[in-house]
Amino acid sequence: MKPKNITPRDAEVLLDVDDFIVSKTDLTGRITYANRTFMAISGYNEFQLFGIQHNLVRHPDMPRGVFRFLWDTLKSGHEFFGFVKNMTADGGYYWVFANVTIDVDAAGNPKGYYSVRRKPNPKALEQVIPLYREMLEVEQRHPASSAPDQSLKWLQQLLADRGVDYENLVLELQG
Amino acid sequence: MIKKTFTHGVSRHIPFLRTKFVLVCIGFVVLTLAMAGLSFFHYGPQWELAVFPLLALCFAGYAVSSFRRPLKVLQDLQQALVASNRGELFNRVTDTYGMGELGKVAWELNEFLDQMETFFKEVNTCFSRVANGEFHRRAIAVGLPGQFAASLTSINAAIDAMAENVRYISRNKLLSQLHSLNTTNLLRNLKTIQADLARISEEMDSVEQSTLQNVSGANSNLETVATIRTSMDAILAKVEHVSQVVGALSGESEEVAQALKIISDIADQTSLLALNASIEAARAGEQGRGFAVVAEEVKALSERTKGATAEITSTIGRFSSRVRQMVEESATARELAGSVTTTVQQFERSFGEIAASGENTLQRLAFAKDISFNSLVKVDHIVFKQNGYMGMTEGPESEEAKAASSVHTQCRLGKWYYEGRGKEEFSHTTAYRALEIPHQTVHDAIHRALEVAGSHWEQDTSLHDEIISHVRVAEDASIEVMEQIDRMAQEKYASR
Repeated sequence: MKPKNITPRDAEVLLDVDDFIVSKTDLTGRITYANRTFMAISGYNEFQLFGIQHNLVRHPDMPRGVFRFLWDTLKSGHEFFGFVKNMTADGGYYWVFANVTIDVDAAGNPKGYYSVRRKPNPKALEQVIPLYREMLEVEQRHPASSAPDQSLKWLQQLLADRGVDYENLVLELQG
Repeated sequence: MIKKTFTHGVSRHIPFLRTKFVLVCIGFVVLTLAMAGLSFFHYGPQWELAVFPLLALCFAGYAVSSFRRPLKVLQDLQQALVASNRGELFNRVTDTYGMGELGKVAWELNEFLDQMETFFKEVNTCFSRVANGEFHRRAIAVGLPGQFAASLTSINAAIDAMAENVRYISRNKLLSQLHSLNTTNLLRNLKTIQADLARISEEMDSVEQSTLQNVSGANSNLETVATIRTSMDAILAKVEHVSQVVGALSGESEEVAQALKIISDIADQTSLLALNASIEAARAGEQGRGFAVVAEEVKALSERTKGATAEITSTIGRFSSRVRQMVEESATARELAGSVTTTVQQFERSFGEIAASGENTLQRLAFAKDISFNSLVKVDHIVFKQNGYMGMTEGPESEEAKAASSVHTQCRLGKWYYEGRGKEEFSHTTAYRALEIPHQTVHDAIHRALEVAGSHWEQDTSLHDEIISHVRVAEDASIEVMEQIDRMAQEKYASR
């Protein structure tokens, strides 16, 4: 069962340079596999994770527009890169640089999603955190149903104004 | 492909672990039962004897059932490995709670598969992006151990090399396209200059021809003048001769006068004799014999008169002959005068021809001058385009790019057109007016091409195509510019 109402705390878990978090979900987003690093950092065990929606570790500071973009990207057949703030079982948080791809079998049929998370570049976070804060503000100004679309639109407009492509920007920030 | 089944090895007659374990359990239960049966046979029926076989049966049942999970994990491990052998790296072995050593094996396999899967996904993604011409997606080696990370780093170096190569190829492709466009059009431009120079040389030939005509005209004038002088000399000689003839004529006149004086003397003597005779006749009367003497005297007188008359006749004859001569001389003089008139007429005609030929020469010279000036303007225009081409390959900061960024009113052709000789000489032609738009188009298109060439066109083929399309527009307009410059001169001289 998904635990409810964890109160976020200002306690950061910092990843090491060679920390390598891996998880897999089925096509509906339920966790089918998590490696030991994931469990060690998130504070959940196998029984608390397997079969549960991956948004179990979603932090309330994350704009929903980012996840909307993640699913749009994956559904169009591309890999997703992004900086994500996740929440641990005890309400703490950890920042990751996530790469999500689709698992396909030998015949090319999608089987699920595969996510690898690495230590984010701290300099990148200095730029990403204020952006996410503004996206959250956009989301708060709109009804919950349209909020993710609105904040994503805001982000895409910002990138278009700066003349940059999302993936190029994110990869460049991570370095 | 023939699928190998691995059913003929040394283990083929040896049962699997599960079967072995079940056999061992059955053996254990059978052994216990046999021991219970033996006791029953020796000591008679005792109910306690049934306890041990029952316990053994329960224990065997428990052992078989608790051996099922580790076996399941083993099967899962086997399946995961089989799938990995098939190339499917996404399987993991998860239900290993409390499996101890087996659990550890499962986790090690899982994490090995994590690394393998990540490694291959990275490689796959990078190369499929590279195949689409995207080079910014590098393989991320962070978090992967030794050999994997080293491999990904090498792959990144290879992608860098490929990107560099693609940039190089793209650059070369554009350069060669530009070069071929340039060469084709430069050749065409040079051909028009060549045609102009040929035309100028032709015109110069005509000028030379005209000049030669002038020289021969001048020579024939000299000859004509010489003829006139000879004629004049002849006239002078004739006139002198006439004066001599007239002199001779006056000598003859004197002789005539003398002869007439003699006649007059004779007449005087005759008259005196006649007087004497009349006096004598009067004195002698009858003595007429004296008349005979008188008669003789008169006879002599008449003879002398006769001689004088003959002399006069001869003189007059000579005089007449002189006069005839004079008439002839004057006829000759008239003829000479006539020939002088003809010569003078020729002289006038020659001078007329010289004047006309001079006019023609001037006009041809003006045409040749216009063509050569227009040629210079064409060369200026070609140089502007060459600067454009060089600016595209050398970058926006190069001298050439700066030279090619001039607006159409400020380049040399523009100054010629808007303030210089072009305006003075050709502004009345329709070709002059038709020249402005294509010239402006050349400048605008070259500026746009330079602008795009200043961006990162090496990575973007669409920019590359954009540059080529702008240059094509410029070259097409440039052909029009050249044609209108030619037409201006033709139009200006066609009306003359």
